[in-house]
Amino acid sequence: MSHRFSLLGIAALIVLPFLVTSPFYLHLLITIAIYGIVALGLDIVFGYTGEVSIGHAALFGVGAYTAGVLSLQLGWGFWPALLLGPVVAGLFGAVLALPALRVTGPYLAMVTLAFGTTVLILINEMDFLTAGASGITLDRPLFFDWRGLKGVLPVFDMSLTRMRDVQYFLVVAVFLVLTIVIINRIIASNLGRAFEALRDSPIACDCMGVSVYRYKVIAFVMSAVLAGLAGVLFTYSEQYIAPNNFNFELSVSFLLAVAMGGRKSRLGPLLGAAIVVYLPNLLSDIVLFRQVAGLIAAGAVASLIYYAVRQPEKLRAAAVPTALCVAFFVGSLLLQNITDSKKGIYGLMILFVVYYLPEGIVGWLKRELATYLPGWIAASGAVQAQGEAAGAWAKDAPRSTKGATLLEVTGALMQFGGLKALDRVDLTVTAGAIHGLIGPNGSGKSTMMNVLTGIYLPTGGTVTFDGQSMAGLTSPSIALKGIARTFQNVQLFGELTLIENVLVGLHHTYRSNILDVVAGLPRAKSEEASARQRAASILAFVGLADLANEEARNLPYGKQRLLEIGRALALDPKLLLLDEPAAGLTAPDIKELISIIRKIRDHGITVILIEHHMDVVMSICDTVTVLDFGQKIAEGKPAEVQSNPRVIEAYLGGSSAIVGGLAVSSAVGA
Amino acid sequence: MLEVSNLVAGYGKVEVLHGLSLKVPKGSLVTLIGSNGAGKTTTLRALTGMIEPRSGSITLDGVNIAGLPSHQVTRKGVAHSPEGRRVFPALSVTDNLLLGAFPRLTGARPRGAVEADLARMFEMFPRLAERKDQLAGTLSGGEQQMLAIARALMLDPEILLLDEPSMGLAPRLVEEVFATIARLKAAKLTMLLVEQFAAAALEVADYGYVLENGALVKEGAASALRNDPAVRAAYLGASH
Repeated sequence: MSHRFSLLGIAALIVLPFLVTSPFYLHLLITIAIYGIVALGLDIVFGYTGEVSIGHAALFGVGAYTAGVLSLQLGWGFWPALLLGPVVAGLFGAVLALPALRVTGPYLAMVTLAFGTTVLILINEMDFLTAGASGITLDRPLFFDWRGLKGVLPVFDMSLTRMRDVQYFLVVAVFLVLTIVIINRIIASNLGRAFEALRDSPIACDCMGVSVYRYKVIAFVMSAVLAGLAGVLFTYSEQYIAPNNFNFELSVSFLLAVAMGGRKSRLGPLLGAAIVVYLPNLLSDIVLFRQVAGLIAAGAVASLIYYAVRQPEKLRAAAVPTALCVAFFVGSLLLQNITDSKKGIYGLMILFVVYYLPEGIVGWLKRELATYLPGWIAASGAVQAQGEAAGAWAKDAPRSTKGATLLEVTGALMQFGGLKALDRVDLTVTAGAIHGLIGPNGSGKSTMMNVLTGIYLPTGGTVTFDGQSMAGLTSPSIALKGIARTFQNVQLFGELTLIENVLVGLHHTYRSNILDVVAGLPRAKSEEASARQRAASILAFVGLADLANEEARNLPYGKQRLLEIGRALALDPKLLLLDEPAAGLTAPDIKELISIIRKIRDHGITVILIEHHMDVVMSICDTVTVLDFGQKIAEGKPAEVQSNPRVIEAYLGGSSAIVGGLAVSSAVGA
Repeated sequence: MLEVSNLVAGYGKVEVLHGLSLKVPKGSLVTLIGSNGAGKTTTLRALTGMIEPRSGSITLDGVNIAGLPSHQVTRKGVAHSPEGRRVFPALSVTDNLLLGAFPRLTGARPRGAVEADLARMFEMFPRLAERKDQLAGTLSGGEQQMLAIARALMLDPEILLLDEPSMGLAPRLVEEVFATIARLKAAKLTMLLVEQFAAAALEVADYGYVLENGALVKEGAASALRNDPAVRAAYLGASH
């Protein structure tokens, strides 16, 4: 289905320039395609990694000026510029990204804004290189003189200027299609999943061995390369560039294109680019503007009537936007002169889309289609999880070396200001054991987890894992050494499906690089296929195989905890840290959880378990360590710890027979 | 009293609750139990206006509150102690409590004696009094749970909705939380308790409803449910 659509799209792109005879509209189409390339690239950063850049006009400008300067200073033409433009923009992108991506959100937006301004000033001031404010003029290339072929096909008969236009459109179209193909492949690969994972939960992403910083920089540089490519195409499309072409407003237009069209899609940014480029033109022709406003109003009224007949409950929500559309149309009829109110109308329309269609036009269409034609979207989006027999994962060869010391913590000290969250704690964990870590809330258990996984840098003490010191290692490298974890407050990648969540955990198994993925080499494909097999078997192991293609955020709480365990197992860890896995589970779910933890242990994975449900701790732990106020107050076999008076006083409370939870009556009755 | 009838609610295209009806009579403690994904949290979200019910009615003392936005539901006297506590971490304990009384301070609800109520909360939860100027984010999990309940009580509510008050708490604190609930019950506060720890919930409640796959499968006096073999097997982990 989607293949047929792509072929249709490509055919349309080939035929289009021959049909559009007006040079003005052909130029408009070329501009839309060029802006489309920038918007598609920006979507990697904005849609997938969730960061906002308002410096993309500058990167676009760097590409454009690379072409301009090469022509001005060296007399080099289109092709070398096409090669160097993206490279130079990519370098600028890296220079910006490496320091800037240490910060996120509004701070990153400010840094990119400053970057944009700086680049603009540099282009303006560096007269000797860029000709400054006077700009650079150059000629559009003619790639191939096809007038000799007019005997074969009459369409090839055209003037020299028109031939340049048509050929240039075709070249831009080739790069647009290439951009779409490349982004599609990257997004479908482990890279694309890394981008989305770092957006949804940076902390979990790091703890799955996928460095948030590294993949943010990669995403940003890819996006810069595409902006640079588009910049070169822009220079040869306009045949004249000046610094003012690349100002702050353009950066905002690119962002708007992605936001209005719809993020995380190929169609969305393209549609957005078309709107951003075409709208100003639409607004200079009052007749056309009235026609379009009329069409929009008619569409809105039609959908309102549909709702009134079929879904009255949606009527109220649809009434206000419909009224606004109609008012807009009436306003367009009353308006005598459009040029004066151009910017105001532009602003109103953008406000309308952003307010009523927060997911963008394509996002909104997808949602409506999913409601009315559920099969249509599912067929194109879902990936079959080939469920191996449940437990295939559990049948892998277990690890050996039982009984040796796997983890040794000595004198761990973690100070936050005056507070000692961990006060010189020693902890020794034996390979193949389930080691319980209990204690009152705030006693330092989760702090210990964060120290072990590199989220906190301890103030003092040493951590030795598998014979190696973990001092100074970052979370991703600790994860890759074999320590996996789950989180007390579940940290899933919400917008990814279950199987994709597990696949992020399997990121470390991929050997193919970006180029393999972009070229679609068999190596990359077979790696993906085998990773999916393994992910499916892990999902089957935690009992979630039938939900493989559901988005993680739609799962009920208890199942989210199981998915976190599955994702952690994908890391193929030696040590698994479980932070309150039974919190929020009902009694039968807890039984299931206990059996899963036992199977994980039998598989040769050592487990550290933080848990408040004493029945879980007592029934499966080999050793239990008790913390209170950051200090170790007891350690030993579960039964010993349970009867330790200090533990009862600090943690278990009056009725130490709380096992199973039924003894609460004594407290309630009191 | 709170009365829910034929409540249908869900997210997007998924319908979670398929016509739920329940009653919380004035002065009683009713509990809603069920496994993960049964629809307990969705029920509370519909009751507090965080999601709009698709159909059905929710009335509080005869006044329909279905479909009202959350802040208006709160003004009608429905207080909510949310799952995961959700205290305002960067505000002091006292400020957290006063925010609970916000509709009273702005005149959206009868003002009553806010200061006296604040003093009463500190009396009821001495640990919060000790920490009244401390930032809520620095409290331990158990103290935060107490704060979440006290903040809800500061509304001077007609009904208190408690979502998973024992989650993630040390056993000793679980006891304390249930002891608190028992005290509130003795003070004749109307409460709806949603809890995974079904054994303790049925121990303290007057009446219980069992929710499965978005529909009620059983209801009855809490003592009867506690001894019901099917409930014991499914929710109380009786075989332990």
